[in-house]
Amino acid sequence: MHTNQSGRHCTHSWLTRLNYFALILALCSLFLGKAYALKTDFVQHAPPNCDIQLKSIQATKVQHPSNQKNWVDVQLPDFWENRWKGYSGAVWYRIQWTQHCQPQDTLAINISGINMAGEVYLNDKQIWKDQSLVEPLSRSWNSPRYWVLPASNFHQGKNTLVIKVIGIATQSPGLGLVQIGSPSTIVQQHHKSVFQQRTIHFINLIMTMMLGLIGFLIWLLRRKDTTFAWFTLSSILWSLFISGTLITETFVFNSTMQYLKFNMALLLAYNISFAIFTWRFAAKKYKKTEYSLWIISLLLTLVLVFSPLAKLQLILFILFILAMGLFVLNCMYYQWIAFKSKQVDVRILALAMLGYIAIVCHDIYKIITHDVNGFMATPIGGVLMTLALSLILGWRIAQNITKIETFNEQLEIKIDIVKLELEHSLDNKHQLEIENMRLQERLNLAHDLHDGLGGSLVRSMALVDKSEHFDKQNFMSILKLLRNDLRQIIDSGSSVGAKIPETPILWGAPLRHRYIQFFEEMDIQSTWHFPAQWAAKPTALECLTLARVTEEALTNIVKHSRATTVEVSLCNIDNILILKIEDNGVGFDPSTVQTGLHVGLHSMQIRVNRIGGGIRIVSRAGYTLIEVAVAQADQTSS
Amino acid sequence: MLHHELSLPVPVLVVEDEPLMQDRLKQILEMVGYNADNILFAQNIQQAKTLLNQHSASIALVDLGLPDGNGNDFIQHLKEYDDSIAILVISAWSTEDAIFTALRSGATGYVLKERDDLEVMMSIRSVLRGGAPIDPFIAQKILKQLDLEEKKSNQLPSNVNINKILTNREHEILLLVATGLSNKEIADQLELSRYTVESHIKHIYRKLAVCTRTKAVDTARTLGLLD
Repeated sequence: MHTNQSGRHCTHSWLTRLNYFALILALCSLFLGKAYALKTDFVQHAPPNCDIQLKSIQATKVQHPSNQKNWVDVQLPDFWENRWKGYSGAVWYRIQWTQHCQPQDTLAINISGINMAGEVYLNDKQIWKDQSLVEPLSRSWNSPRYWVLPASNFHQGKNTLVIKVIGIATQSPGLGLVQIGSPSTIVQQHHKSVFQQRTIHFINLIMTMMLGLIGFLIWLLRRKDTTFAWFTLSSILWSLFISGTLITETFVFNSTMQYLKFNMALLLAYNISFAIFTWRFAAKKYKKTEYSLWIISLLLTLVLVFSPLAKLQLILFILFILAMGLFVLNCMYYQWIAFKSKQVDVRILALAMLGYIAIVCHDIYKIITHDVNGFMATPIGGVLMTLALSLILGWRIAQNITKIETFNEQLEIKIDIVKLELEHSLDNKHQLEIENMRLQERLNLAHDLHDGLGGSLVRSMALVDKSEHFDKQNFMSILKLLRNDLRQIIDSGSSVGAKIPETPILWGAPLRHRYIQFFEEMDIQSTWHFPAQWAAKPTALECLTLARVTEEALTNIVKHSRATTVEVSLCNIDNILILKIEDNGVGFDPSTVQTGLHVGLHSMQIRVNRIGGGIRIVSRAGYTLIEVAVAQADQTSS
Repeated sequence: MLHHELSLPVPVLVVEDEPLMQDRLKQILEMVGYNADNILFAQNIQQAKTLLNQHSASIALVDLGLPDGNGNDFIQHLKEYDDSIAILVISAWSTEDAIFTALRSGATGYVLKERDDLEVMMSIRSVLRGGAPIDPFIAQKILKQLDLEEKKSNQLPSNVNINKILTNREHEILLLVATGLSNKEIADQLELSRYTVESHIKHIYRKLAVCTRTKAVDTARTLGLLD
């Protein structure tokens, strides 16, 4: 039984030790105060003429100290698990000394920490007691305390300070350093301890909470980016975790154990959420890893909650190693991410995490080598994070402002480029359009020349070829016809866009103007009838043809008819445009037109036929009528 | 008919580079009643200026396309030399714009070379009579330009604006010219003498010359004030 127990003891003690280190690390520098305490004496700068001699420091694990047996000598600070493995309950510490001081001397006593709760008796008189000495216990482990006591409390000679400590196994139960001395020295010592044990953590807590708040607001304003949501979560978890060093009561928890389990779960969750934050920050997502981490930690937490007390230490140890392992691994892996990523802010964060590795290494090394001198570096992490985040945010703000400042410039350049491109393409398009238009115009002109002049030319050639007696007069009339055709093509081609006269009056105006001068000169009475508006707008070709017919007819009248009255009229009857030219001249033989002897009118006849119209020529002595009828397309409007 | 024109203004300056056309114009002028002695021929602007300095001129027939320049320049030169010289443009190739420019330069009238002798003769006679031949399209063009200016300054009532450039009577005459009516018809319709109508038209021409030369609405208004 005994051997068995001793064998188990070995592993047990190894586990306990690791767990002990782990908890120290996790709960942050429990030793901060003790680091000083170890090398300092029990007596601290006693008042002058006051001689204090430490006699003994002893401890016993009994419910009542009246039993004088079982006192063992101990050294402060003392952790009783080294001696009484797995013991939870009350342990009495007795410090005995002799003093020879002046009656007016006031002395102060200082205790750096009682793990967990306790009460203090001086010479059998209670001088202080924790709020709760049964579960849930008060948490005095990280609260330095001191009492200034008048001389009447002390005896000349032998004095006894008894401290009852209620501790829980696995929680490093024991007593911190106890000192006695002049009040000024002790108070000074106390302030130092408070700063190192509490204030530094408080600063860390405040900083973490501030950063968490900033992160939360950033996330609130830009919710699609979850980076700062993770940051906020990790800040909250860390704040809760670190407040474990500051609280003196367990609040909602029924026992110290429950609180411990909660704290371990917090540490685990913090490490995962911090890792995810850093990944998101570098725009990375490891879905499977993240899910499995959450699931594993959830399972472990469940195991933790329902674990029996006997297995608790092992589970706590595994959890702690897992959490810290994840943390350190991520910090290292992040250096790789930063190396790959060219982003400055990612690199700043990586630098901070490099600092974290140093901190963790430093603290673990201290724990392994039992070095309790100096301070634990973990609280510096908060400062490091604050620095890094400030730098990152500052860098981002500066970057964005620069971006905004150069934005207009870039925009202008971009617009200029686009404008130039657009101009170029429009220019090309325009050039192409002009090219096309020119081609079209040339085609039209060629077409007009072919149809008008060319047709006349071919007909004239045929006429000359056919007739045997061809005199100068005929030849002249052919040439004149060609000339008039050419003129018309030129006239119609040279005035772009005005091919169709707006009204019949304007259509007739040039002809009327030209011929009325002849008529007036020759005393010919002329009457012109044109409607004020088109009933249906004729085509350009119709306008031209009608004008040519009129020109030809009027030229004939001027030259040959010897008429005294002329009447020109244009009207629209039932969608048929009718042009009439009448005179009372000598007339001519209409049959000459058909045979082609009358060059001009014959040509006109062909033209009218080509636009789908009909020409009627009536001529006898005293009355000649040339009538052209053109059926128009039915146009309901205009 | 010819003997009605008793005192023909001499000498006649013909600026035409083509010999055949010169002959034709000589024949036509002789038909009008001129003696060959009174007709001076120049083949280019340089010659024309020399002749003008030597003999002066009362009436000039000017081709627009000359070997050493545009006929318009010579028309302006003539106008500066003596404002009372009647100038008839005898043009071969004529777009509306070319004719319009010539009129703005100070030409009294124009006729196309290709027209029959009878028509050319009639144009010469019309100028000799002191008339101002005006084409419907010229009238339309002037009216359109007025319309444009009116739209440009539409803060003023349209009538006021037009009256500033042209008188009501002038505007009325232009409208009738645009429909192709002869001066005589216009005179009959407005119950004016033919002479009055022609002097109105000359007036319009003169305004047109100034108006389009400066091409500014402001000047047109100033002219309106001058009326």
